[in-house]
Parts: sequence; C-alpha cells; structure tokens
Amino acid sequence: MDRKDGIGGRELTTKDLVEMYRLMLQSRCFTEQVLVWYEEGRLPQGLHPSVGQEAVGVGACYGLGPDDWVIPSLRTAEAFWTRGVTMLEQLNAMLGNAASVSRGKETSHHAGYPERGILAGTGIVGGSIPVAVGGALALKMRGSEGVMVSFFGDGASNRGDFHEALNLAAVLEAPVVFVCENNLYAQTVPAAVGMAIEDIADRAMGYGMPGRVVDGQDVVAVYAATQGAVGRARRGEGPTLLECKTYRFLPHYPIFEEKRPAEEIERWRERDPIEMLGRRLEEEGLLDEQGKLEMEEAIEAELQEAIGEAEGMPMPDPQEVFENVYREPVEAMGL
Amino acid sequence: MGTPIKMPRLSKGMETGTVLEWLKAPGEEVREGEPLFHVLTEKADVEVQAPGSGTLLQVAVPAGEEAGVGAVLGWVGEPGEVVGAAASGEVKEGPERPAGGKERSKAGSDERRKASPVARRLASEHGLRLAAIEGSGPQGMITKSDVEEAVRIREESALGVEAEDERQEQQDQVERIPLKGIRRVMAERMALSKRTAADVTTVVDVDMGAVQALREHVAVTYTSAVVKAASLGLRKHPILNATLDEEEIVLHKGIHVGVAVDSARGLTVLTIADADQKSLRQIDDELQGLVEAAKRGTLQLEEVETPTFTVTNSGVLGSLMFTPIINPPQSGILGMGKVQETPVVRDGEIVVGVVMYLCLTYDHRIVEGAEAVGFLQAVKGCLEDPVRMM
Amino acid sequence: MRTLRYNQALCEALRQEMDRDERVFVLGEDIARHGGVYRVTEGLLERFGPERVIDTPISESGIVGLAVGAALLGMRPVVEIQFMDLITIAMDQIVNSAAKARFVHDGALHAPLVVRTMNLGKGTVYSSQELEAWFTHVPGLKVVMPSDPYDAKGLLISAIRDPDPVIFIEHKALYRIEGEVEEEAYTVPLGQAKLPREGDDVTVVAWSSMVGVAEAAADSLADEGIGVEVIDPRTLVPFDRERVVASVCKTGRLVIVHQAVRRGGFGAEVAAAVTESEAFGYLMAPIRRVANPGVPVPKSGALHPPALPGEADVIGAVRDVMAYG
Repeated sequence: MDRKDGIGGRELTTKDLVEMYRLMLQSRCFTEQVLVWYEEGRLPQGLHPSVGQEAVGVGACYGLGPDDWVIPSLRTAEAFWTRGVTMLEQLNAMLGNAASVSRGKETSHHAGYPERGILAGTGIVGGSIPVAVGGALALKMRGSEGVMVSFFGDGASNRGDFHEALNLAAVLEAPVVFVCENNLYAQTVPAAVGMAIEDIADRAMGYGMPGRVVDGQDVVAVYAATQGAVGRARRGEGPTLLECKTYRFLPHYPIFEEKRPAEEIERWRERDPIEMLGRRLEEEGLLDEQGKLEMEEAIEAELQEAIGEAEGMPMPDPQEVFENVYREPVEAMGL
Repeated sequence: MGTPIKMPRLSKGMETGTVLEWLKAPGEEVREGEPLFHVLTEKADVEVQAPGSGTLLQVAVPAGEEAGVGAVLGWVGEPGEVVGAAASGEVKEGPERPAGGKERSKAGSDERRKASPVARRLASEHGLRLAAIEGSGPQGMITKSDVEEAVRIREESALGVEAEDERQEQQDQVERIPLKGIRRVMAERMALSKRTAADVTTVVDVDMGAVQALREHVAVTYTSAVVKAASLGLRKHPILNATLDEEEIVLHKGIHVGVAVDSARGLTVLTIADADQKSLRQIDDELQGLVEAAKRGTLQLEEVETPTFTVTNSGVLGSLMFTPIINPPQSGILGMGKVQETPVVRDGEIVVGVVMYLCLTYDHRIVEGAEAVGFLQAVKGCLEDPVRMM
Repeated sequence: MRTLRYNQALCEALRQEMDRDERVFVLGEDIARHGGVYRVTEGLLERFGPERVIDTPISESGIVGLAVGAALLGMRPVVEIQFMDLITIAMDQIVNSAAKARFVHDGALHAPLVVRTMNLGKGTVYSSQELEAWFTHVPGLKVVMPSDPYDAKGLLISAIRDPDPVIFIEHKALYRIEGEVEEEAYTVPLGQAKLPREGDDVTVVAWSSMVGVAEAAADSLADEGIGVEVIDPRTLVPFDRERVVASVCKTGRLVIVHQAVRRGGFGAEVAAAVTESEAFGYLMAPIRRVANPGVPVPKSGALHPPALPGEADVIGAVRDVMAYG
C-alpha cells in the first residue's frame, strides 16, 4: 500500500499498536531507572536519555524484517528494543560483564547485535552514516532484499560525512533510509544556530533523493514514513532522508545542566509520544489505565530481575582485551 | 639520598685504596663510628668506620675492587631511600682530589664508562672491569674490539700459568687460593720491585751484646734499636732515604722508617715518622702500639707519613740471614737476622758473643756500594755502642 | 620468469582476486573509466563492470566509510585513495570505523577492507608525505609497504584475503620498476621480512622506496669491504621483529631508513624494539636513522637533497656506525 507521498507499510493491527506502546514504555522505564541507578552509583555509567524521542526508534524499526539492518545513533535506544534486544543484554553491556555482547569491550549505545541486524555505531557523531551506505551497498551487491536504516541527529547532519554519504548513496542507489532524529539541539547548540534552514529534509533535494519531514512524536507516522522509504529502497529506487521532528525531555547527559527554556520543554511534553499513543489506545478501547499499569509493572519486574542477573554475571578475564583486535593475537603483530 | 661512604685518605700521598672487605651487607644496620669496611693501602690494612648511622643502602665498590680517594663506595641512609646508581661514579670531589693530579688508573666505577652495549656485556661475561679498558671508539667509547683485545691479552698472560696448573691438577689435587686483596698487592709490589730495582744485598755482622745489656735496664726490642740505629745511619747516608721517581732521585728530609710486621691480614708496614728525632724509648712505645693495633685490625693511618726506608725482622722467625726485597719506590731495606750466641774473637780470644746479621738490600741504580756499606757500618756502630743512640 | 612493472603487478593482483572472489570490488576516484592515475586499475571496468569497479565522487571519508560498511556486511572492498596526503580526510573512518570494528563486535563482525594509497615521493608539498607511522599506531590496522613488483602482487593478494583492515602503501617511484612476477595468483604472507642483501657488519632496515636506496648503498659499501644486510620488513604491522633482532645480534649495528619524517617515525619504533630485545647486548654502536629531517617535502629539486634520504645518507650512516669498532 505504498503511496505517492512516501507513506508505506502494512496496516497496523491492534496488537501492533499495543506492542509499539509497550516498546516505547519499556524504553522510558529503562532510561529513567538506569538514571536512578547511575545516580546511586549502582551502574558505572548513565546513558544519553531518549525520553521524549521514543516514537522515532520504535516507529522506524517496527516494520523491519530479518534481512534489514540498522545502525543506531547514541540516543536510539529504541532501535535495540524494537530489534529484540533485551534489557538484560543492555544492562550487561553497561556493566561490561562477561555476558555482554562484546564481553566488556564496548558499552550499550555502541553495541552491535549482528544476529538481530544491528551494527555498532562509532563514537564519532555522523561517522556511521557512510558506513550505513556501505552496508546498504553490500546488501545490494549480495542480492539481499535487506535495507539499511541509518539513525543520526540534527547535529550529525552538519558533518561532511552526512553529505558525502547521502551523495554516495544517491549515486550508487544504495538501499538505505536516513532517519534524522531532529531533537532541535546538537548537544546544547540549537539546531537553528547550527544551520540556516528550517528543515533538514530539504538537504535531500541537493543529493537527488526524497526528503520528508515526519512528526517524530507520532510513532505510527514514523512507522508509515519509514516503511514507505524502506519499500522504495527495496525496490531499488534508492535512498530517502526522513527528518523526524522530535524533542528530548531530559538534558543531553545526566551531568549536563538544563539551559533550554522551561516553557519549550513544557510545550513539547504535551506531545509526549507515549501519552499520545496511549490516549489513542484508550479512546479506541484497546488498552485501558489498568492495562497500562499492568504493562508497566511487568516491565519494572523484568528490569529488576535483569539488574540482579546482570550484577551477578562474572567480569571478563582481563586477558580478553587482547582478543579481537585482530584475527590473530595482538602479540603476533611483532611490535 | 643517603650519606655517601667515601674512600678515605688514610695516609699522606694515598691516591687509591682497595676495599678488602665489607663488614656489613646492604640492608644491615650500621651506627656511626662502627667498623664498616677494610681498606688496603700501600701495604696497610685499615679498618674504616661508618660515616653515619642508618642502613647500609648500597655498595658501589665491592670487596676486591680499587677506588680513588673520595670515590663513593656506598651509601648509608634510611631504608628504602633511593641512591643514585649513577652517583657511584662520582669519583673525586673538589677538596679530596689528590693534589698534583698525576695520571692514575681510572678508578671510576664501570657504570660511568662510555661503552657500547655489546662491550659492556662482553666485559661482564669475562669478568673484566671497564675501568681497566682503554676506549678506542668515538669520544673514547669502549668498543667490542677493545674488550676482545683486553680478553686476549689477559688470556695470553695467563696461558703459561694455566698450562702449568693443568699439569699439576692432573697429577694431584690442588687447592687454589685466589690472589686478591693484600696477597695480590704483595705480589704486585714484589714483582714490581724485582722488575725495576737493581737490587744488591750486602751483609754485616753486629755484636748485639751492648744492646742486650741495655735491654736489661730499658725494655726495648731489638727491632726498635735497629730502627733507631738505621734512622741515624740514614741521616749520614741520605741517598738510602731517597726514592727514585722516574727521572729524578727524590731526597726526603723526613726519615720515616717503615717496619714490616705480620698481622692478621698478612704483611703490614707500620711507620715510625721522623725516627731520627725520636728517642729509642719513644720509638719502642710507638712501635708496640702500632703492632697491637695491626693485630686488632684497628690501625689508623690517617696523617701518617709514607715510609722512606724499611726495616724488616726475619730473625724472630729464626732466619739467620736473607735478602729482603725493596719496597718501591724506596731505595733500601734493612733485614734483621736472628740474634744468637756465637763464638766471636774479641781481643784475640774466642768468646761467646751475641751476634746478629744485618742484611741491606739497596737499589744500585741510585746507591753506590760504598754508600751502602758505609750506611751499614754506621748502623753497626750505633748498635755496638748504644750510647750513640741516646 | 615473466617480468611486470610494479603497477602492472598490482593490477594483476586485483584482477585475479576479483576473478576468484566475487565479493572483491574496487572503488575510488578515477579508477574505473580512467583506469587509475597510475594504471593500477586499468582494464578492470571492462572486465568486471561498473558494479564492482566504481568511480566515486571526491569523498575520501565517505568512500572509506562506505568500504567499512560493505566489509562489515560481507564484501571485500579495495579502496583507492589517490595520494597518501588525501588519506588525512579519511582518518576518522580508518581509525574509528575500520580499525575498531572487530573489537566492538568482539569478532562477530570484522572489516576486511584494503585501503590502497600512494606516495608521490617527489611530488608537491601536498602529495609526497609518507604517513605510515600514523597507521602503525592504531590497534586493529595492518600496514603493508611493498618495495618491488613481486611483493606488490603477493602482498596485495594477501591484503585482500586478510580478515582485517589493511593500509596498503604504494610509491610512485616504484610503479615503473620491473621485476619477475609469477603469472599465477600467489601470496606473500604479511609479517615476513625479506633480505635482499646479506652481510655481517651492519643491518639496514628499509621499506618501500628506500629498499632500493639501501641496496645501492650496500653494493657501494661492499666495495669498501663492509657487509651490509638489508632487511625489507615489507609489512610494518605485523612486523617481523625476530628477523631484525636476529640480524642485529649478528651484526651489532643498525641503521633504519625511511622516507618519512624521523620524529615519531616508525624507525623510532624499530630502534626501540631492538634495544628492548636480546639484541641490545650485541649493539656495538648507536642506532642511526636515515629519514626526512622534519621538513615538508619541497617541490623544487634543489631543495630535495636534505629532505629526501638518499644513497649517500645511508652510506654516511653506515660508515658512522662502523666507527665504533
């Protein structure tokens, strides 16, 4: 049912909508709990909270198939949940224990889960965008039906890598969807200070690909726009840039002082993606208050169990640091 | 940094000394003034006291090695204090630097010698001290070939001895005593003497009856008497109180008579400074004190003059006469034989006399035969008529 | 045996690997239609088509990043960065995306790409920099610097087949060198040095274009009775430390020659490694480096002698270390 306006994907069922709600709620609960544990010193690190932005990652990843790949940005926690990564797995990664996916080598937001189609992003803002294009090109060269989804923020769209990558993707007709999570701030610098245009989506035109502005607080809208772009890519019609307008309700990182206007935060909080979908589910009689409460309790219970289990995991052997720098042991490099 | 332990100047003119033995091991506690190590200088073995209290932190010059006066031999300080290994090579400091600055063998420790890594390793493997090797590389660096040359020279010089030793060992079991410390110094000095001096020995007999009679009133040893008599003889024959310094004959104004005695560590030379100006009694007292100190190993030789002539008494061991070896750079040594009753002709009659042979070895390079015999006659005269010594 | 020029040997390696493995593809600026500025990719477009022989826009960072992504998802990309000076633009992708891919995925994924690049040697200030030391400093990267046509082919095939990212550094001065090259595909293993000259007096370690310079110096010095052992490590990571150490244990003297700037150059690493090894106790003389003294490579040939190490410099350094007995 792909439409000319780029909207695509199958009709969402009741079950889909409730699951999208649950994924967003899980992300919110996880983030808020992790920040408390970090504050308490129970976790060695905090995270870059995606609170307020949950609809983007969930909506963009929800309809993806097993052959598709994503590279999350450091704030796209929802890409992990939606691709099936568990809270226990991400807690393991944050603790760096021996059960974590990289066995302690890198943390949760730079984690890759290849069997769930997740490539690790690097710590360099925007650095993953050309990598995503290459991944997409590989999928195409290998004759896979898979599509690559690249997540990044408004700040990354000012990096040269963004521009080189979009240009390359366009000329190579790579099956990639660029999902820009424009939360209006590059860390602390307002997007309007960092660029002279209103809509990042407009940049797509310069590279010869469609660019669309999407309501990033509306998970269904994100889903539909992404599915449209994914369908286009799958058909070999090339890449798309989606700009999801969104907002983070919390500071960039726990240690950052909040300097954004309080009334701006308040205004955006009125468009909380979880509440927006929750109201709709309630109105349509799909999920009532009690159901939401039970869902949240189930998430909390899983989370409590997960932290206990994660903390009980052994740490990796220090000598493992020499593994997987190269295929051969590090000492084989001679010097 | 702890207190450095330095090579003391134990006698005038001393420029180097050999550490004979450390009485404490690194890590052991020492108190200031407590005996810490023995130093061998010229022919004397001297006990040196700790310069401070604390722990012996490090030994920079191990036993058996030679070091210049003022060289840091080790450190005393608080346990765990860091001492600069590099500082161990700070050989000679300003005021303690020997005057005259004559060319000496480089006694600095090996760490400070410029040497290539391979030279350092080879020297260590062959037990060679870098200080003893001349560097031929850029900026005087000791090179691999310098060390190889040193090894070759040593092996060549040791070859004959080794061959002999091997034959010996095949025939019977032998015990090998390492030639080190005072033994080594002895060996080197004796060989030097025999190699350089044109030594001649001449002997006179002395009627010691008068001295024996004197001893019944004044408790002095025969040695003291000979020292006194010799000092007076030297006054008359200063050439025997001279030393040969390469191209020059050095006549010494002070008459410092060395007395060779056996001590716990071997032969030691005690010195009676200005013996000609001391009474027989004074000489005797001084000599007894020195002998006691030498036996205890507590000899303090600071400010003692270097002997200009030596007296050695072999008679106490039963020897009748012998040919003593000059202690270079001195020009003479007077050996005493056994004092014993012998038939002598006195006033045409054979009577029982008390006779001792005096054996003078002199360096014929600078001492004429007539001078030597003249000296002997003078000594003989004093001993046979002790009043001249009073 | 048949002879080929260095660039032809490289081209043959690419063609044979692309024939053998359809995952191998090449991309870069001017490489498809033009066949590469130095003809290394000549004829590949015609043989393999535009899907596998890709002319890219001038986007050094973008194309290396793209190659990393393609490698992570199963391809074997070979990127050409036209001059090594341009690789500065792609440093993030090389250092962060490529080098650490295996580590962060704990081996579940890896990035088997090759970045081919080239030093003009005597080009301009912006095309003659020898920057191999930068890459040797980054865990996860391998660094290959062939010095003759035979190695060029064998090492490029090894690099393409290697499971880790390889920085493959060529040199303009070498492209025209002819040498015997087997027709069949073959590999020269990474991490194995070769000894183009054997000698007992001085070990000279040189790579890339400096190997020929070292060989010429060795031949001149042989007339003086000085036996120079020239070691071409061929790859800096992995580095054949054992070979160098064994040679220095034999000769006791070491001279290292590279075109790159001395300060922070890989020669310093070799020197340090030797002094840390058992060879230390065999050293008869200080280790000498013959290298760029720390200046940009100037355009004018008049300014070249002090900036670019040559045979006379190597001979001077060898005589110098020989003075230590």
